Amino acid sequence: MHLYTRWGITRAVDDISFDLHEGETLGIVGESGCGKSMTALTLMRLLPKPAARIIGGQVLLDGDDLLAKSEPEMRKIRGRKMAMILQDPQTSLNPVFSIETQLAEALELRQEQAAEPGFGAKLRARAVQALRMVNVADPERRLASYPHQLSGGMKQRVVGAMAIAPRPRVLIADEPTTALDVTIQLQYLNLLKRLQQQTGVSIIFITHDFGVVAKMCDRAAVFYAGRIVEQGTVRKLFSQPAHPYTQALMASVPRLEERVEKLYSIEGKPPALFDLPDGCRFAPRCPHAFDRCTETYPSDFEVEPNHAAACWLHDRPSPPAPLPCEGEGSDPGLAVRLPLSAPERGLGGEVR
Amino acid sequence: MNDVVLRLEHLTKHFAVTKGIVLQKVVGWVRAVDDLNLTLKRGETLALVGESGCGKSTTAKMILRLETPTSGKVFLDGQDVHALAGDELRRYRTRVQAVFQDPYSSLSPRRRVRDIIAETLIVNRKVTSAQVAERVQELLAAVGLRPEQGDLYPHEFSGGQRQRIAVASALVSDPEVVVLDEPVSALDVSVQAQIMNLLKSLQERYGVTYLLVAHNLATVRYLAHDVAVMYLGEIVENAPTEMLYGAPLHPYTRALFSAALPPKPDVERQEIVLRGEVPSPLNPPSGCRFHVRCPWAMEVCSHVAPARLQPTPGHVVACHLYDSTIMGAKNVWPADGSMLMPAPPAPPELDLTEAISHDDAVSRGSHR
Repeated sequence: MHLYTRWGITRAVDDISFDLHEGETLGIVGESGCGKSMTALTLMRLLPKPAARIIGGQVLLDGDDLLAKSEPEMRKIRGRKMAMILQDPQTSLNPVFSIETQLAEALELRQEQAAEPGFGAKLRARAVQALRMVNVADPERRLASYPHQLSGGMKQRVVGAMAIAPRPRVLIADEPTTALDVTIQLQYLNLLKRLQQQTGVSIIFITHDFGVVAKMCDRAAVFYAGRIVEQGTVRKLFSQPAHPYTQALMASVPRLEERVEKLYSIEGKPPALFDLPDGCRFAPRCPHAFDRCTETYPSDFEVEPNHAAACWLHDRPSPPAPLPCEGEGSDPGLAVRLPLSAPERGLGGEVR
Repeated sequence: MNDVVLRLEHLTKHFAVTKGIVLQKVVGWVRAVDDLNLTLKRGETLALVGESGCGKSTTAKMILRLETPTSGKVFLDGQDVHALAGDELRRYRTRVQAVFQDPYSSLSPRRRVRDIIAETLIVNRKVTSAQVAERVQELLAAVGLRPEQGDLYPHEFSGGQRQRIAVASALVSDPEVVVLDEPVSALDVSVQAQIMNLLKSLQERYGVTYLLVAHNLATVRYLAHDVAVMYLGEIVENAPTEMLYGAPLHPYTRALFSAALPPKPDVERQEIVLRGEVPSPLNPPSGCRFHVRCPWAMEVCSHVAPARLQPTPGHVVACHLYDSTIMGAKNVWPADGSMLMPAPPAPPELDLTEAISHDDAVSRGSHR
């Protein structure tokens, strides 16, 4: 059960595993190029072809392996069971079709009986309702608009309506508010939270903003250079970050509540994904690195229940409990599971 | 030390909206910046904060002489900037410099870093090539690049390093004012800290004045000495940073603070969610421009523009809530920010039965 996405010879996403429970929000945090978006595209099976290849692993949606599905089967899952909201709403909407046409297309995904009489009116009513759901004022009039007539925040709401209207099980939100102004961002985040409460959808929230993670997520996974270095409940992650990278990243965020004289900054930059070091990928920048770190990639160690970090500093005599952190008895809705890394993996991995 | 280096007086920029191709008719005015008054103290940082379209970049452009003001003036050391010409103007171009948001588009891809940095010196100042080389070397070191990296091209650098190059080229002519237009918002978190530390240390070293255009309040607190909050072309609040962050007064500033999410879960905070979006500057609302979104709006706000008041010395705010002639003796607005806001209208409930199709309603039932 390995999941290796390989983009050319770049190991964009390497050996990651996480669970997503019903109605839960999982944050995926990291800097650009750390594999956040590639993970999202892997889950949706939307990776650029033929450059990207999934080398191994499983993506289990309600126990069903998505990686084993054929393309026609995947098309039935995309939009219906798993939907996605991207950063730039401009690229998610087609500029030459009206909002009504585009919403109807999303809503139609649920219905095969398009030939039925009165279907058009029903669809229209649903579209109005979908817009109302995302707090678009005057939805009847908005249906006739084209994307360029809407503001960025409004467009992102429409995209949200399209994603949530078919009632997916999982919603992948890839930096949905990065392009929005802060007061609009707050509106949108509250909207997503309310939609989640009403529909019970599970959300994977991809972001680089720790403030957004703190507000939106129940659990979070920190990515670095294509791997998860730490994951756990948001509360534990923020109160006691266990991985040196998470600690450094949090220390380098300027504070709103207090004035600091000098910010902590991580020197250097993340390694190139086609030229990764043998050991821990953060070791060259890590202030705590020792011999072992540069030799072998660390296993995941459970720092405390529901909180694991891939760092040798947490190697204790007791056998470490493996990832993924299981929820309280409930079956994960979506599971991406992979074992701990073996030294011989990597470029030697077979391309399937 | 704290003398005024740059002063903006009644600075206004209106853009004409025209109709027709040959015979262009003005059909309206976009009031991008309206009656702006600001002073920049030497060696300090003034931050302009606001959302997109509030006029902060237009203000920066007028300071850089990239836009001509409709009315009002910009003074650098008492000289009217927009009246400069010839050699004086050429000198001005070396005295005011800029660092832009995107280091990928602000550096010419065809030129070596050394030449990019040296450009301002060569174009605007009479200096020998030896002096140029020496100065470039000095700046490369100052921004943390190695001397031999001057021979490389921009594409060989990461985003953070490119921003270092942009900073070096802005500082090479020893300017008095540098306009920083969102200097870190395009960078990764860990790199942002590097660049912010660099900007801070360079200010201490060279005594340069920064005009920081930014939307991230945490960044602003770290870098700025004074903050001006803009909304729809106007300054709604203006104060020393610590005073403003200690007790933001204007409802819009409070909303901005509430929208800046702290990187900590379970922080108790009053959440002010504003109604709607920023109205078009083409037809800004009458009275206080913020009143259509303001949770505390009163009747008077819709037709009378608020005066600029100073509830505490040095803290300027344009809001009727602090006007004793309007509010009378009752002090409804405690300065500690403890005022409660009216509850927002309840969001419409989603009708689940309609939104789910039959087949799915069955399968969904099993998951619940």
